[in-house]
Amino acid sequence: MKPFTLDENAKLPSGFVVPENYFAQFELKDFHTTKPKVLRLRAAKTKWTIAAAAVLLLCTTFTVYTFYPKPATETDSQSVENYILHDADISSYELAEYLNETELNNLRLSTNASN
Amino acid sequence: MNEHEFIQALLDPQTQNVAFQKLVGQYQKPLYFHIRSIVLNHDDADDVLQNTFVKVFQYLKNFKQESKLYTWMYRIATNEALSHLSQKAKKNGRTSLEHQAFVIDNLVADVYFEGDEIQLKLQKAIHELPEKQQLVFKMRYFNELKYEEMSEILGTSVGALKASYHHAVKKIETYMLKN
Repeated sequence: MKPFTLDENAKLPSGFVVPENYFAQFELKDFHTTKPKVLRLRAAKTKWTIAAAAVLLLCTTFTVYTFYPKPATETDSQSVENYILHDADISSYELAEYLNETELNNLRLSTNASN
Repeated sequence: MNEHEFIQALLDPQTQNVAFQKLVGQYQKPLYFHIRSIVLNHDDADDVLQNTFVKVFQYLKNFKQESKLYTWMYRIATNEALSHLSQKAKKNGRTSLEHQAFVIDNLVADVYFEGDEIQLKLQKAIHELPEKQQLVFKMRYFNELKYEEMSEILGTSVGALKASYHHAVKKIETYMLKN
């Protein structure tokens, strides 16, 4: 078989042709404007998911903050009184220094009542 | 008008429309066939040619004129064609080479391919080459670019291009003989 040599054989054209008048009618669609920015669907989806999650979180936080029963922060006077009488390491003499006679009487009465 | 003046005309808003039409008229054909030799299909070549001219227009202000305008445009066309090919292949779940093989297999049915059996075999032989050798062969054999121009476009030395073309020719000849 005769060897095939590209340089010796007549040049083979590519075989590619174009539609009739393609080059004569070739027009650039619009070279002045840049391509429209294509927004990736996935990125857009992510943005909306993040936004929805943020709104949900905000609503939940607001609801919980508004309606959840708050622990009492103010100490009622009865608790203070009980603490002073039974738990605090305060002697009768020290107590007498801070209270007037009426208050001491009241205290004695309430102590008697509770005992 | 020399090339520098022509580039200035392309950049000047007063003259750019006329200058750009001239540029398109002058380079559409060689750029089209260069692109077509890479993407193989007419519709794809048309899209890539459009994109190439749009990019040329967009980036002309950044063109440093270290190379000729012609080779710079060829470089853009090459990159656009390769990236188009890769995107299309990816879209179809194939590699670029697999996609090319698919297009070559369907060339017979392509209305814009009028090659005979030996031309089809040549396309198949080219496809067997590594990507860079394919480019070098197509640019030299079909588009008849000078090695110096190819060197500017591909950023490869003239010597390396000559060697690459030589290897490509040998491989193609072997393929043509065996098949």
